[in-house]
Amino acid sequence: MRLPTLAIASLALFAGTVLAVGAPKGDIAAGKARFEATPEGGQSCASCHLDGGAKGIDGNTPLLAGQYADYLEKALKDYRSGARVNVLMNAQVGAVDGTNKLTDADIQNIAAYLASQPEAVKVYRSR
Amino acid sequence: MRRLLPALTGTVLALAMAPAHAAGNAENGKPLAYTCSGCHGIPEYRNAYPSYHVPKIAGQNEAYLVNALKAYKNGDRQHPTMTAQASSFSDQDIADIAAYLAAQKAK
Repeated sequence: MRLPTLAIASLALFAGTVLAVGAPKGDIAAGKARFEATPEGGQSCASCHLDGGAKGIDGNTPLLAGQYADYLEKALKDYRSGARVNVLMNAQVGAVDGTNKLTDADIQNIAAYLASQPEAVKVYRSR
Repeated sequence: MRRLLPALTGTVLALAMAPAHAAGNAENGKPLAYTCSGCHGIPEYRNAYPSYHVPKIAGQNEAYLVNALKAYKNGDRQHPTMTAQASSFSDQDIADIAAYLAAQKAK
């Protein structure tokens, strides 16, 4: 009796872990709102990353639509910590003076929103 | 001085109009970009420690790709593999790779 219970419990735990890994962590609707929000004295993400990240305002601005969420999270966290240097993005995410600083939840939500958009970039296949 | 001024103005104008970086040649970039596919060409491929997906780069903006490779080269972006890759390329190689990858548009 004890063994089957343990087995079922283990199986449930395992299934839960697998589901958790596959599920998107961020809130897409909240991410869209944050992406489009213009903070006081600042600029929205959407003012340069146009059409939900499908276009850039210029060639220096990366296309973000359909990019992997966890890569986008890493990029934003690196901009925030200063590990990745870009004058515009460091200031934009609050690494310079704390203005409009993105929280971990903001980053997760924005990444989930962008990843949910149709792919503007894709996996590179050499031919 | 009267003669020098127009000459100086001309020089300044010429400098301002010069492209910020060498133009990329997509055809030359194709063989150089072959190495990229080892990681960027595998769907769902992950970087290890920390674990996250290697970004999709096909169809990305050309100037952004140039900036990214140069940032790895000069240390503004930190990633051991990418720093090694970018450091092995000349500025012209980087321009060519970026031109090639940018032309691989997502559908």
